[in-house]
Amino acid sequence: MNIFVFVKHVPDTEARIKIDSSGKNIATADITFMDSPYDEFAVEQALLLAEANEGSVVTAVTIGSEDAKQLLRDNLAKGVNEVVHINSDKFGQFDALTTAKIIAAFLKDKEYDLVLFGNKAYGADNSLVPSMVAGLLDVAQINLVTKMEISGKSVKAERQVEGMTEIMEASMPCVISAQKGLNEPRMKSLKGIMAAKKKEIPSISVGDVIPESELTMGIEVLSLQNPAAKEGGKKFEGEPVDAATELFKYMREEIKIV
Amino acid sequence: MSNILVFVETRQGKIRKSSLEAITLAKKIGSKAIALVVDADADKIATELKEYGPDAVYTVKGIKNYSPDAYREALSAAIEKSGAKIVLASQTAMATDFIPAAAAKLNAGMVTDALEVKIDGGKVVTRKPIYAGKVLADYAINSDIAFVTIRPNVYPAESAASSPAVEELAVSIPVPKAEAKETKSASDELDVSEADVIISGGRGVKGPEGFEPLKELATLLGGAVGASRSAVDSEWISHQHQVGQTGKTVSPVLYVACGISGKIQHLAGMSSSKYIIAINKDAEAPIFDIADFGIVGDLFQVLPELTKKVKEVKG
Repeated sequence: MNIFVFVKHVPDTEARIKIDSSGKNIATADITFMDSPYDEFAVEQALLLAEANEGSVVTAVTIGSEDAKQLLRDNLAKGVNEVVHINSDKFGQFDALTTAKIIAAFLKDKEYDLVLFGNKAYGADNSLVPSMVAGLLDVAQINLVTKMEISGKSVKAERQVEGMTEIMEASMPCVISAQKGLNEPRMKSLKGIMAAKKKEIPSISVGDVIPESELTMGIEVLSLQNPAAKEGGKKFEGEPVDAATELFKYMREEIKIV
Repeated sequence: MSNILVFVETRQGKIRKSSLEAITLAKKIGSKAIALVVDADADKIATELKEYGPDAVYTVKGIKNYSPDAYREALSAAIEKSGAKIVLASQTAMATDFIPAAAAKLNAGMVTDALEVKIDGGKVVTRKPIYAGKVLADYAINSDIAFVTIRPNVYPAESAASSPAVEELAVSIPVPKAEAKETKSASDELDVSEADVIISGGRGVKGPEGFEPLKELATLLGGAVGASRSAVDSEWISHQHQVGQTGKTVSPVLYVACGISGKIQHLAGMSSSKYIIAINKDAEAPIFDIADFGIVGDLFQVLPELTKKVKEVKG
């Protein structure tokens, strides 16, 4: 099987996010970057599937600046076979449609059975790119996957929907987006880290993949802001019975919920 | 002003409540609200929709099981027929599954999980939380057709009687590339993303059985049970319940955080709740910084007392 997995480096999820002076971008100077949390489930699934299907090749791809290469090195250390870096300094400004167009154009002349993503990237939090890529390539898709198995050319997967699990069947090639619970992502091995250090990371530019004229963006950032900090209100410390009485009063008189 | 097409989600013959919210919003900002219903029983659904005031209802009856590619065809046919320049839906697993594919096919921009949608200078402008709620972004959608999904519970559904024309669309349904074969109901539990009241537990709940008092109160109040990442990672409760960074971002009327310390990743997912109550033994827990009402105490002592009082009035 040919498996492609798309990964993205994002600000450390523990970090506070500040807005830069333009008011349209986040300030990146003081933050470290990490693999987007859901992407790790996608990478792990690619590796598990490759281990179960002899002769499979897993290719990890990222779009981003030079710094994003580290992410590919980390994935080599985990065991992916090939990596491709699509170089762009503008990536942080691309919307989902633009990103999906680049990915679809990249995949168009490749042979692929499965294309894996995290179900959303920490950042725009949109969950758009996997579905958009499936639409542009006109292939099957299953999103928010928490369990999957392959037999022949078909994929059977469970996905989480509100209050239910939906069992989907799809034909390959298929786009899959991973949800937490799909697997337990592995750590990098020391041996893997050493081997990955020596590997060349092939880099191409966005222009090699798709003419820039085709990258019209669907949405435009008008402004970013940090939400107004919520202030703490009253606090009660005392006997549980009294605490419950106070709370009940608050829920009844203030919130009017009981 | 433009026609707005609203995708009305149904599951097992029932309209999703949050789809009605999308109709209400469409009526506010558009000139005409046209509802699309994909369901074998679409006529019955169309009758139910009358109370919420759509100007027209399109029905597609030929799709047996949910399939992202078949639904995409139905939506594309409805967009063409309606001439809609805005496509609205509630932020659900189904809507975010097939609608982006339709948007990309039309070279259109899309914003998901919007908290606010308006038309400004002829453009659709939306506000949405990014970085798991740490930042609010205002976006203008520049493409010819704008696609938006709105977060449930933000625009309350308002009844408005109408007598819409109901029209069945002729859609050539493709052989599905992906299709739902069955659904397993975990339970009839309300999903946290749609609940008005969330009783949420963290590390302080101490184990799976510790969620029982939370469930009892949630059921009494018609709400849902939420959880912090550490409770989910400890396997005390399933990931469906997780609120915060790697879970769901929620905006209920009331969020009760029980034994949740309040890490930034959790706060990002729930700080837009209208009222926040926190119960925690640790008086220094960061959750108290954003709680409207904080109780320093043991949740296992306070909650049962509170439940007792709620029972007396809900009897």
